[in-house]
This record gives sequence, C-alpha cells and structure tokens, in this order.
Amino acid sequence: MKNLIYIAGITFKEIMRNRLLNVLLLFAIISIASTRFFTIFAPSEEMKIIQDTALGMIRFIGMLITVFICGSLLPREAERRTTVTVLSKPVRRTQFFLGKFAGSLYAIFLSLGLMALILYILVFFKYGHLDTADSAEAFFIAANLAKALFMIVMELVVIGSIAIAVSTFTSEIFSVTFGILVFIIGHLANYLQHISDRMELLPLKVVTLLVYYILPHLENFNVQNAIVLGQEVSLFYIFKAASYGLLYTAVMLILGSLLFSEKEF
Amino acid sequence: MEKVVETKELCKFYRNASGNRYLKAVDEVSLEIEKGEIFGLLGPNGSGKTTIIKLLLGLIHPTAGTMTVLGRDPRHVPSKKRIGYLPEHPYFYEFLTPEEILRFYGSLSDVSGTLLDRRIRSLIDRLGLERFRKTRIRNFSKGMLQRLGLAVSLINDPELLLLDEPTLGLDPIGTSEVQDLLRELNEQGKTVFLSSHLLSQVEDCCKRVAIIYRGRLIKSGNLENLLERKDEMKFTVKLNDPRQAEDLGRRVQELGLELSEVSAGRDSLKDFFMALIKGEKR
Repeated sequence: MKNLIYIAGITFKEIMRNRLLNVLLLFAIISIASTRFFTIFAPSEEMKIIQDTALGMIRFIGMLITVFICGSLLPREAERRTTVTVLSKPVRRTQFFLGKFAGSLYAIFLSLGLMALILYILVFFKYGHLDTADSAEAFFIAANLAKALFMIVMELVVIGSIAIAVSTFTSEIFSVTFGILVFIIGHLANYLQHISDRMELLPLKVVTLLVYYILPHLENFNVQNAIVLGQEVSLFYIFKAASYGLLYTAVMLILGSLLFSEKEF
Repeated sequence: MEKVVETKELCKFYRNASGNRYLKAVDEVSLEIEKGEIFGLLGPNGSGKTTIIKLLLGLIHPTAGTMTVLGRDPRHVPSKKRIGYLPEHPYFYEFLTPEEILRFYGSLSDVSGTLLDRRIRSLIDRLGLERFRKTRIRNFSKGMLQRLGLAVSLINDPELLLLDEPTLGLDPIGTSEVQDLLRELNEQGKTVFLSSHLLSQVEDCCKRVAIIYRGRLIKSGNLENLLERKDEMKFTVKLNDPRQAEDLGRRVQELGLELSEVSAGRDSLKDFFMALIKGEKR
C-alpha cells in the first residue's frame, strides 16, 4: 500500500507539470467564467444558461483531461524506460498500475475542483446579494450542482479506467483516441439497443448488442437536463449510478492490472 | 559456495515482424554466479546481455529454461529488496533532483527515516553528485545520469548488483571511480553481475566471466585460467644499463628458448592519463 501511495504521489507531481493539462485547465476556466456573457441572449434564463453551459464544459474538458492523462501515462513511462527502474525495486506491478491510476485521479479531481469552484463563484455572484427567499433557491441550485458534478466525476473515473486499461497494451495515441470514442459512443449506448432491434442481419445485430453490453452507459451519469430544469435528482438514483460506475471501474482496473502484469519491458 | 544466480538452459525468443520466424535473443544459456564474486558477462552489442539481466529481474518472461535469483523465482517481488539494478540507459523522472530521486527509490525499497537520509548523503558524496544534489536532472549529461543510476541501484544496500554497462558514458576518471567502487562493494561481500562489451573493464574487475555471442554462451570460467598461456612466461626486468637487454636475450637463446617478444617498459595510456589528471588536481 505504501508503494502505491509513493507512486501515486510522483504521478501526481508529473501530471501537474504537464503543459497540455495546464492549457486545457486555463481554457476551461476562461470558458466557464465567460458563460455569464451568454446570458445576455436570454436574461430571464440566466441561471439555466450558466448551469447548462458550465456543466457541459466541465464534462467535455474533464473528459479530455482524463483521456489524455490516463491514456498517455503508461505508454510514456514505458517509452522513457522509467517503468524498468521502478519495477526493479520491490514494487508489484498491480501497485504500479493502481498507483498510476490513483495519481491520475488525484490530478483529475483537482482540475474538476478548480472548474467547479469557478461555477460556484458564478452562482454566488448571481445570488450572493439577494434576500433570504432567494437564498433557499440558491441552496437548492448549489446542492443540485454538487450532484451533477459528482456524477461527472463518476463518469470520468469510468472513462479514465478504460483509457488506462487500454494503454497497457496499445500506444498513447490509440488509447487517447479510444477514450474519446468511448465517451462519444458511451453517451449513445442506449440507442444501440433500438438500432439492433431494427437490424435484419444477425451478425451485425449480435455485434451491436455486444457493444451495447460492453460499453459503459454514460448517459446514466448525465443528470444535467434534470438539474437545469430545476428537477430534484434523488439520492437513490445517484447511489445506483455511482455503484454502476464503481463496478465498471473495478472490472476495468482488474483487467488492466492483469494485462500489465504480463507485459514485458 | 552459495549460488546467488542460477540459470539452466535459459531461452528467450522473439517473433519477428511477420510473426513466422524467431529471433533467438538468449539461447540455452546456463550460468552460475556464486556469492561474493564479481562476475562478468561479456559480449558484443546485441548479443543478449541486457535480455539476460531483464530475465533475471522478471521484467520479461523466458521462453524456456529455469532460473533462480537469490534462491527465488525472479518474479518474487520481496526478493528485489536485496537486488540493485543499473540499466544500460538509466532514465528517471526529469522534474526531480538527485536527492528526490534517491528518496523515491529508497522509499519504494522500504528504506526510510534517518537510515534513508544517511544513505542518500553518503551515495551523493561517494558518486560525486554533491554539486548537483538540488538540481533537476533534466539537463544532466549521460555520465551524471550514469552516476545517479548507480546511486539508485545502491540505495537499498543490495546483496546482488546487476549492472548493465555501468561505465557507459563515463570519462576515464569516472570509469576508474566506478571500478574502485565495485571492488569496494565486493570487499563488503556483495555479489556483482557485470554486463559489458568493454573487455578491459571486465578484465580489471572480474574473476570469472562468461562470453556470450548471438544469444549463445560460448565460453565461461575463471578469467586467469581462460587467459593463461601455459607455454609462455612473462618477466619484468629492471635494467641497470640498456645494453644488458641484448645480453639477456642472448642468454635466453643459449638456454634453447624462443624469445617471442622484447619491449621497453611503458605505462598504459590509462595509467598515464590518470597520473596526469591526479597531478593537475593536486
């Protein structure tokens, strides 16, 4: 366990020096902060626009940060041959693999935290100066936003686990591209069942159904519409979605860890 | 004698790009390394030396054959606390300083607290890294990285050292310092497995060697026995007068012996260079 923490720590330090991450973060902060300007098109819908645009931005840039980090760490380490020196010490390969993932998550959480902070500042500026009647509404919005952000975190954990598992046996470019594709198709996964129902060719039907069952159903983590419309998202739903996400992540990490254990350096 | 490393008919084959032919990187290599010796694995580039070391570290899996390192399977992780490894091209996290790197690798090897502090200090001093202890290694030269790599391999005070071309990129002074360090470690009872293509280095340090070529072990044994010429003897004679050399040669021939070589005494370039540098340093 100690070694896992050391590796996670060094991974986090390494990621925080990554220029791409810093550029993406800067872009995210500017984009989220500028959502306020979009409200001039519909002043009465100000809060909805801020929430919708900012949450969408956090999800998309969070996904980019996640796939770039999780998909590139292991191939880069193997290329620079730092893996060899670490694995020559009493470090289990599972510790190394999970340590890398834990360090990545730490950096991803920190990035999301920063983006979320900007969003909350925007909400605060909208409600901060109003009377107590509005503060109840502000509290409701803040709590709902926390739920939406938690679901985004769960979604990114799932995508990150897929990207790092794939990166154990492929190149950096492939695992990053694969991660982005999983994000796109994963949000369309629910349609795959309908598509397979309409297919007449059996092999195609089987393949589509297989993809439907294997791919993560990322729409499970999307509560953005409900929140923007001011609907309550039940804690039970969040618990169910989080359990699904954690289970999916565990399977991916076990698979990734097994593949990494057999890898030759 | 206790065997620290033992391989029996060890093989490692790789498929080529088309997948229909095998490249025999290591082909039926049997080695035995005894506790407390400096063993040299000698061979030209691409002969399979690095592959053997990676097999001994469990970084790659053998195609056939068996091996034990410190009495265990190379993939036995806790045994690695007793092993130090220097790769041919040591690479470390570039954003760290030598001190941070040693701390990281020491922590991974379960060395901590004041013991780790002491070891870091002593290795940094011993390997001439004191001026750069707080400098990020991004711009380190090959030689500096090699010194750091050696320090990392020693941070857990290992019983067995697996060194892959330990003097690669070092200047003659660095090479000499590393050779002295290896002898010193050997005197402390450590076993050193040294892989090199530098013949003089192996000759200077090792008592037993194995010569590998195209993955196959072609010769192994005690260096003295391998190099000895039983029908020849070499004398070094101090002359009072240069003309005595002629007399000496004549007398040898009178004894019915063939004089195969006569040459004036001279230093090796290495000795000459080291003496000059030491003089300048003073």
